[in-house]
Amino acid sequence: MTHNNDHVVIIGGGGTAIATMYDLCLRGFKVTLIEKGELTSGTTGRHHGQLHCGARYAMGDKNIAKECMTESALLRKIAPNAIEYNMGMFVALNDDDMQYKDNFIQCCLDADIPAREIPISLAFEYEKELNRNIKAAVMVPDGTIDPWRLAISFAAGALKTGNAEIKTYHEVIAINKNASNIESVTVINHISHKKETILGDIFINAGGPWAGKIAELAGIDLPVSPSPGTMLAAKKRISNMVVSRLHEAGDGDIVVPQRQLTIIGSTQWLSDNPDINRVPQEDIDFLNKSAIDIFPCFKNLEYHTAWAAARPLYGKHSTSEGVRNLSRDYIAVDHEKHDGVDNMISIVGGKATTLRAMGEVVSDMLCKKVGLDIKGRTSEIILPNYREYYRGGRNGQTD
Amino acid sequence: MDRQTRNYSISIKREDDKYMDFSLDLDSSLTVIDALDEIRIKMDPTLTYRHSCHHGSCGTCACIINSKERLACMTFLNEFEDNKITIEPLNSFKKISDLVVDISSMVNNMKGSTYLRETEVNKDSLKPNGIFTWERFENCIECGSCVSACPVKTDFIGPAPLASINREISKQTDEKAIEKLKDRAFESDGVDACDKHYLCSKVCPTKVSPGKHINDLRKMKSENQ
Repeated sequence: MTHNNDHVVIIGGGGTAIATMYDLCLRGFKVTLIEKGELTSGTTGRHHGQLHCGARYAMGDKNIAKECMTESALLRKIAPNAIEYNMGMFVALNDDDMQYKDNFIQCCLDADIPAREIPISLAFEYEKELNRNIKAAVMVPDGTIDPWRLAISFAAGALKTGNAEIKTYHEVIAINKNASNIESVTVINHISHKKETILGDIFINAGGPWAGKIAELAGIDLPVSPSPGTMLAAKKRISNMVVSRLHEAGDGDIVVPQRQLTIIGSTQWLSDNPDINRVPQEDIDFLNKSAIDIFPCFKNLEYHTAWAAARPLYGKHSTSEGVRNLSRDYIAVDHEKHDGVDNMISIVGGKATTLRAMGEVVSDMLCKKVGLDIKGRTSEIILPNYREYYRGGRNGQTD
Repeated sequence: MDRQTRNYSISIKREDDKYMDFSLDLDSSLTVIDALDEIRIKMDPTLTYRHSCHHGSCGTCACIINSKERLACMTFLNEFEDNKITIEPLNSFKKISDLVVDISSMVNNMKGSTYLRETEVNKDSLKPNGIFTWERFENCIECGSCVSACPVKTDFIGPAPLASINREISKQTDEKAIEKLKDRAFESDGVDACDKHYLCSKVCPTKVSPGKHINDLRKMKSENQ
């Protein structure tokens, strides 16, 4: 086997970037991760927390559904401290929903998701606060993630290899090319306020909804649509299972219990700016009403907060409707083939549940690109406890 | 909810303990973390602070807001009637920059073989195959507020680590492991170092009540003697 002495620089500090760092470190690469803020301070951290078994996607995209099933089961095994596993339930509230039921179950089974209808009386036994007018209930193996603790478990795994360097509060301001080869990135260290040059052999753009802006620095046009959504949380836990509306994926159709909270997600709008700092009142009202449809007692709960985050969808569209139709799948792009930049790969799209798989796909692509045959091992190893991330001090930062 | 645009004066303790003032118009339904984002994105990209979940779950954004330890993401602007907000980094931790402090000293003292516990919801209900207890994450989000607020600044492992020891004792079934946990709590920087100010319980954003956990441990200690 050829020795891998390539130094990989990853731009971005969300779930995908961190899982990619972990995967490459296990394969023996030296990796530097550069993030302008704290880890998971963009999209990953603000996730509503659903561990997707894939049922939500079963009717729309069998491959995504299948991958979510595999990955959610794997995450439960390798990151047990970051997941509340109480399963999930899809409920039909009206005749329209009922029309989807048989097809929904069949699509789940086709994607290897063990969906099964249960008697309504049993559904009320499992979840006492459910709307008493539900017409059907289907069990699926969903769960709840703590996105911060899941992501830093991966970061802890990377640090443990001794191959990772994590530079939080470092913002990339330039990508420096010599002809078609990227030689370095220029960053501003927001702690020292100094400019630094970070050399690398291969560069990975894992900037989530900011990936388009990062690619621009390398003169690459990467179509990324930041697609924000609102989430609403109430101050009491009212269920144990994730409860979803049995119909085509849409807005306000997932209720996620987490710790002592109940969270309802989400909405979707179009923005050309990934820095989201507004929560539309109409979204809050809509989510509140949607949650009450599933759990009538939600109307008595105290408001906790509402927040928004931008999904990083791959592709471009000028209308909200068009963006809604963009795939939720992820894509790894080798810019050598597409844009004439030899040593940069971008990874865009995807979801928190598939972070490990995304890290593996981009690492496989990188290995193939440099002619190394090293297999990924992230599915075989139980991650360290998230607290191990702090073992070396400085909140995991290694500068 | 009160939702109107108002002008806020935000003073942030930054490098060399100097305060820097920002004046900006914000929707009063937003939170302090939204305000910090707004300042960073539009006024000063060098501002550093920790944040992730924006809903009081990750614990990264704790800081001192108008003299009290709070989660920035759960502190709403509309509670400040004079529109003046002062934000400082947590006490007791080593400062990294601006509002970022190194909480590793606390986390490295936290105990717990699992971060999960049984939920309070439908405890006695039937459960699906494969689910033995309904589970949820622990209350403590390890934000460091209690450690910052505690007046005991030296030779004390702090409220959150002691609370985690008591939680773990209640979950453990292995007698030897329980003894080891108690031994840790009873060291000189453990329960005896607590001065019973109970500020920890007062500032805890997720109502862990570390003071109560420390009292439990104190009782165990006196029963042991």
